[in-house]
Amino acid sequence: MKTKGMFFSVFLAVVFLFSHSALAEVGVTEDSILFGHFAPMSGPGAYLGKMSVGLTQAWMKHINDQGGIHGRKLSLIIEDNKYDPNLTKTAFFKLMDKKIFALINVYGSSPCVAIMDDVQKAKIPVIPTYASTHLMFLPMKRYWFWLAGCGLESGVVVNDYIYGDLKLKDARLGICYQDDEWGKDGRLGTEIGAKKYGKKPVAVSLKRGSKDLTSQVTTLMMSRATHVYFVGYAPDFAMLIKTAQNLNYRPQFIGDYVSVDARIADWGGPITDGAWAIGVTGLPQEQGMGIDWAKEISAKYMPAPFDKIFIPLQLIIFAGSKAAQTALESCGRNLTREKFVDALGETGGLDMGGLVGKLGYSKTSRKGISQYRVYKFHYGQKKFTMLSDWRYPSIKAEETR
Amino acid sequence: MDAMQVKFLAMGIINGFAVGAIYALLALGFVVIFKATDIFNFAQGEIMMFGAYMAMLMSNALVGKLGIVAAFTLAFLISSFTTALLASICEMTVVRPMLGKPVLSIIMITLGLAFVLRGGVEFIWGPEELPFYKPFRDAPLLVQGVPIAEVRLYTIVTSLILMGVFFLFFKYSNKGLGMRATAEDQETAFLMGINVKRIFTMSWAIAGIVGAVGGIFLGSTVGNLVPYLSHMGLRALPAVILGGMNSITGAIIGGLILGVCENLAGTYIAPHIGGGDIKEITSYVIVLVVMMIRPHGLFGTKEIERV
Repeated sequence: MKTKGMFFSVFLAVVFLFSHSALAEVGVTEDSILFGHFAPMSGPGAYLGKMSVGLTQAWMKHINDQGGIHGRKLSLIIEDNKYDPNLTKTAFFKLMDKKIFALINVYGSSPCVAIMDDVQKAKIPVIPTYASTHLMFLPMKRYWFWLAGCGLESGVVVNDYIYGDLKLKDARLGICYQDDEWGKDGRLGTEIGAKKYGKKPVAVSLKRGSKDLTSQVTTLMMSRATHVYFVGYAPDFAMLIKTAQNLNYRPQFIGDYVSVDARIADWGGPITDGAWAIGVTGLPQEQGMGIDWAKEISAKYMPAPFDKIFIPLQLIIFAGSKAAQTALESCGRNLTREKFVDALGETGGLDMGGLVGKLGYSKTSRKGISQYRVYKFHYGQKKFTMLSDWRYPSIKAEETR
Repeated sequence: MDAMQVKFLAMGIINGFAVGAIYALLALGFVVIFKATDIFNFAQGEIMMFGAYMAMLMSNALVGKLGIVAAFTLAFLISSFTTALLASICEMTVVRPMLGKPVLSIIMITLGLAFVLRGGVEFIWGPEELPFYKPFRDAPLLVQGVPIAEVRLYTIVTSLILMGVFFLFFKYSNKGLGMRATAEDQETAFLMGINVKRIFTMSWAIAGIVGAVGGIFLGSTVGNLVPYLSHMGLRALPAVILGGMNSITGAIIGGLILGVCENLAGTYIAPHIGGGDIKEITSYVIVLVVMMIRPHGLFGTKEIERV
């Protein structure tokens, strides 16, 4: 009888153990949550990839040093996608094999579009994607949470500022864009925005990683563009300004949110002074709970030079991390992907403490950002200042569909 | 065609010529090695990149003591020397043991060398864009109203001088004649008392020098250095094919032609077809057309074998 009782107890214990593991979510254990991340760790976008990995790890260390979230420590595995859509697919499936709970802080329009359907099918939460194309949130996709400067809306804001705010009726707008999903979205928005004011911008493209922009600048010169909007990496923005200077061409240059990067001073020199940029984050010199939080984590966990906040893009990564943290905290111990996604959908209106404008997630929208600012760069001080406060584009991406 | 259009056309040609000069230097590196050793060096772009990084390192280290002009000049010379040294060491330690092995194995070796060099540079300096300080003024010179960047002008002049020097070297110096003889027939050259191994090393050293000079001027033009600058090496490949794999003159002229054509295509055709990769495609379209008419390139010679 005693033996029978013992067998029964062992049987119950085994059943309990198996049933418990069957109920547990993929990537979640008693004491850990495993996140996946892909980024270009080599090639033209590596300067951003290494930064996004470093900042995500810093945020995780900060959480873990405080005991984790509901007793679970956060961990991260990284795959190099070289900003290549095909390699991103491979990276995504590798991360799936490694049983991640969710993807965190990923970026790149072309890479993210490449795995859009795969993510939906696998029901893996992505929090957030910093991909700039409006395709990331239109139509709404349950598992994709978007937080970036929308190429399309930024293009509209450029026109709003030039033709609406400044009333520069004789201004001729040109756009130089990276020839991928991100750049094409920017071009589309610039054209839509210009059409509203009865204008037609001249458009030139560059191949990602291109090191000669002479023909692009010559075309813009020939079209007599007085304002040139650039959609692409910040070093390329600096290169465009320098190339124009070399050809005696001095239009007003405007970068997108990735070009809100103080290092354009090093890359482009004094000629970058006075450049504008369309931003979606606060500025490092501003005060705010979120900005202070980002500065504290960076100072404690990041190696130089990223121990200081000098690129607003650093702030956007903290904004995404903060949204994820809030949702994880509200899920409690019984964490599942579906519960996490629902919790993220309820973070709309969360006070981001100056990191970005109002967070816009809801049950029916995955569009995290709708507000933009116009910034001006000061070479001597190596910083951007505000030309125009938080604003909505006169034509929202949703209205263009 | 009005005055403005002429000005833009002139700008397109001059700037294309400057880009073409860098292609020509890279192509020269490919051809010199190929002529002497029958090896196609896929690491030429990486050798160029290494030269640029060395110049940056020296220039940044010396600029505080010597001023930018002297620091850059010294960095130029030291970088050329160290890159030549690196290329020679690569030849002696990595490539030479492979001589006589199947062509595919040698190709794989040079590809491997490319990865090692790129990885090494990325390991030391990181993937970040690093500013490249140079003595050229950013404001352009105006020649008949046509703006020409100082760096472009120096690129063209220096490249032409260097190409001229090597042309004379190959034509008149003993070493140059030895290299040509080796390229013609290695066994006969050996029997005639030419140190073939030294010729091989020398060809790699020359490729290192022209690569470094190309890299320095490319870095000066762009203003920043990044490891994937080495991809420019692949952009010079069509120039080699266009000019003829075994022609030094062909490599130089091929590079200049493609530089100008790419720039003009980017300026005049790209806006009408919605942008895209027209600049990259242009070179390959030209090569394709020329290959159909002259399979050995513009200046290449057909190898006749007697049976």
